[in-house]
Amino acid sequence: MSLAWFLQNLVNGLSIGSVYAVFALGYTLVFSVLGILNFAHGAVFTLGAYLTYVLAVGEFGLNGLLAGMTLPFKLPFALALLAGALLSGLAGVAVEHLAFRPLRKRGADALLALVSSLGVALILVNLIQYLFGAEIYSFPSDVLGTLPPAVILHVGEGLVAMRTIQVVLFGVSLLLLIGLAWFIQFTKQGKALRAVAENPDTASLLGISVDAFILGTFFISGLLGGLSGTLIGVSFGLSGPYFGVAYGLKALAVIVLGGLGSIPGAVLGGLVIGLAEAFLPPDMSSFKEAVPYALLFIVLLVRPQGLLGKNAEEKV
Amino acid sequence: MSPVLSVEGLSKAFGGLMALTDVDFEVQEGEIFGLIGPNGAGKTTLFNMLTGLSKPTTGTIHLLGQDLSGKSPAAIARLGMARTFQNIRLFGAMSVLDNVRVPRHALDKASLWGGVFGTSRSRRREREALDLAHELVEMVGLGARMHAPAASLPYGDRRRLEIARALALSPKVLLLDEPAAGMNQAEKQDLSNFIRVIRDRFGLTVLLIEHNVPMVMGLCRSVAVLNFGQLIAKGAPEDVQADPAVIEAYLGVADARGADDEVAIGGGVNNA
Repeated sequence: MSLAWFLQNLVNGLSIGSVYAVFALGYTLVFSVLGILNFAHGAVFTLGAYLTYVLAVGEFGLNGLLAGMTLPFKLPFALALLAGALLSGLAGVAVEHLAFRPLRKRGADALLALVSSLGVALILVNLIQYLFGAEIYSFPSDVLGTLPPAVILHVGEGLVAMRTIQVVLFGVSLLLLIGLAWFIQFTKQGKALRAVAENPDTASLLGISVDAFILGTFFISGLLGGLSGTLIGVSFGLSGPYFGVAYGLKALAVIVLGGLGSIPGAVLGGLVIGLAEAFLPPDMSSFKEAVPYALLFIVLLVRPQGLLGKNAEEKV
Repeated sequence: MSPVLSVEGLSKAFGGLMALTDVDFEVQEGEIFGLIGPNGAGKTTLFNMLTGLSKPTTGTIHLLGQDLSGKSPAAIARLGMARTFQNIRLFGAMSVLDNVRVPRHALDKASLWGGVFGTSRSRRREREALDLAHELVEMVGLGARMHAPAASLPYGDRRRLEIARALALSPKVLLLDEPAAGMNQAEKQDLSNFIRVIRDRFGLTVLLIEHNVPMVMGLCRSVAVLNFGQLIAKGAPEDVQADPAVIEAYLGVADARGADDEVAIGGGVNNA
């Protein structure tokens, strides 16, 4: 229980937790605008990782439809990350067009969109499998270029290793979180978005094109999803087309833990779950996947509305 | 003079129920036009169609000569139609000031990039929008509560804030849905004066749904009366007040036949 041990787990927990936060924010944004969970978010996460991989490495795997094909170019990792994120944003827009808008326009019960988004998720994941194959993809170790793989710090008599990729994870996530918070809180578009989230009808009567804002929300959500998929993929590899599913469920635990629809809640929830996983004693590491849900269970017993969620007030 | 707002042959059916049947009227520029009628007469349905929230089954609406058929609520709002609601609909979590700033988004065509990167043009617009928002909030007497969340305001203040927010859209036509609901006599008097002031200050045309007949009679130059979705009378307040069909709608059939023209229809609804 040395200081070095503590710092090492803090580094591990914050870097992965910040990615959870970014991923979970994608759910939260759509939820706060439409009041519904987008189950295709995990598939967009997966798609983002695959797209960035192909753009950065320039080639496809060995057994998909695109097996053996190569791109005429390779992008530097930072650019591939950005391009993969933007394409994921477009995938988010497609999800809105396919799974949400048609039902909304017909005035369908919001719950139905849950099912149609689940359908789009299955289509996306199977499309990925069809095109890229079911094999494991790993980003090459030199994907970050000439940066050293880790920085070792001496703390007391112990060592703390900060992997470069952890710094990238934390740095990119932090930038995104700050940028998003600023956008929502202080820009005119952010205000309009909050207005749409609070009451779409009223917002439309004030001249706000609600559909455009919903589309924008799906774009940002997809972008956050694809980006976090890439970051996780770089860190732990892409274990096949279904690798987003487990993370998708974990991110659901994150937003419920933080409080559904609360943006600070998603961030806090992500960090709490990341840290809880990191501080799990090594001999219990086989329970790692259960940590988020155990934590969720305990928190919901005490605070059913989540850590930062508001009590739903029923007004007559 | 061509009317600011004209409604022709407007009908709305919900399934087999006719909420509005063949309604025609015109509102002239600068007018305060009263729309009265018993509960369920179709007044709010009419407002919903004027603002594009629900689509007419048949009939047309023209705002400043422009046909509103098929236009989205947002597009209609940008053309200059603003409204308030019978049950107030503010953005409760936002501050008073931010509520009033929301509509400027729609009017300011500065690009997203301008907003994000703070070009000088977009900064200037932002400044102008902020000044107008301040002015509107001061005007409705909420200057001291500028940064409080809208949900924390008392009832009367929320009503006034909703009007300020509608004004931030720089509308040509302002639709007020029962703005005096829940107000006492003195507050109603204040509200009447306030409506006149904003009409003159912003060059508005006002369409007012109100149950309180004395208030409508004092404020409006023209009045239309709806009953069971049909326009049963329209014209100057004193003529409408004397109209047998109106008296019948408010007081019931048997009595109305022989009712004295002097019966104040306000008496029947004042307590409603």
